[in-house]
Amino acid sequence: MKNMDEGLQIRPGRAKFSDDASDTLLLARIARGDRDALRELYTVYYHPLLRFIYRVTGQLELAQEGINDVMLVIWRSSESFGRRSTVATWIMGIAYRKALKLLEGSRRWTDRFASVDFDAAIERSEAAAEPTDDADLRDLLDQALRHLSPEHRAVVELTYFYGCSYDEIAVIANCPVNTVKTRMFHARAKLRKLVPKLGKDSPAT
Amino acid sequence: MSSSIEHQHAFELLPWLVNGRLEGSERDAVEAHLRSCLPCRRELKEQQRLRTALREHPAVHISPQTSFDRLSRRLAEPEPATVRPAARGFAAFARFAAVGAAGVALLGLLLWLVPREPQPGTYRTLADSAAASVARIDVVFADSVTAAEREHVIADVGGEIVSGPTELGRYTVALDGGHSGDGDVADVLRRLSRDPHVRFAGLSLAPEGTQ
Repeated sequence: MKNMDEGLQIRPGRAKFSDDASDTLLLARIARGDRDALRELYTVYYHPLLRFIYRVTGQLELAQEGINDVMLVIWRSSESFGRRSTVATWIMGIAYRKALKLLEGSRRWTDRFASVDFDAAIERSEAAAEPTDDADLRDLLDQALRHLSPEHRAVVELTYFYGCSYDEIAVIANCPVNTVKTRMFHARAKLRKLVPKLGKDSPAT
Repeated sequence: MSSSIEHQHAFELLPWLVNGRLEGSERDAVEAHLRSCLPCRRELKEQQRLRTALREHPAVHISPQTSFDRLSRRLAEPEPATVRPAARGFAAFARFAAVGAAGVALLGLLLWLVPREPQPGTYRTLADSAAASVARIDVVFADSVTAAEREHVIADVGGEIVSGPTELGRYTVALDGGHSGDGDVADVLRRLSRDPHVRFAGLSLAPEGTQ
């Protein structure tokens, strides 16, 4: 049997996470109880889901737990996929709900980090040495994202890493399109304050 | 007329112009607005930088094999609440079993809240029972890393491995008092994430101190 690690790429920036036609076929096989199909779908979605749930929850443990929770839902209710969206959008919607639920359950342990004072974070960000390379910008961004709400982080991630349209994000987050735009608007404003470097041309450009 | 758009609306839509998902007249309208709006052009550049930085951000790359094996074991367990297509004839049994499943779920939750048993040959040190408030982080090392290298990397950031590896390769590391502040933890995570021996470093869910 093919090694699951072979040829695994997260394929960042694609407008779609994978090929919808082949995902639909896999889902049909899964609905018939085909475990090989589940394995194939797992291989395709493992890293996109790991990253997404990690981004929303900020916890590797939750991300690792969350993937299998999502896959279990797919295994049990693949026949309920109503084709109202692509398979990828449907799966990311399940992941979004699972991520928020896992995060809610772990809050008692993570509040310390979630409640860090926003103003203090801005101060630290401004006091930090001028970023010298792209890696520094990514680090600052990584920290800044932690100061957004999980819902805002999800919209930023879905827009820029997964290349989703606002319509797709509205389906994934089960909210009106205007809410998606508003969340993105506020997330951008907060990131601009936390990472002033985003507004400046990097030395390399 | 058809391409006119209010500044606020265009400004809101910029992320989807940047990611290439704006289409048709909406795209035309935003592009037309951009030609005459300096703040929106600046914002467009900023959003392009944000997208580039996010896309270049290294993904968490951990082998799916072990994780899939765990899922397979979960599937192999009796899942009476699962109503697969072929099993629908047993709806009455499923209803009965669902009550049991709820109990199993509750038990699962309780077990989840209890600190995990370490794998054989794993770390379990005095720091586990330390009362001091210490920050804890999760670290996954590259496959080729030796035990000595692992210890070195962790000691280098003033940490100590307190448990792990889990089945999925995750170690929990306690940082000493000097590295427990929020900014210090971020600095440690930054250093670890750039260490070629480290595949992943992030804040841990593990409870602190004696909790």
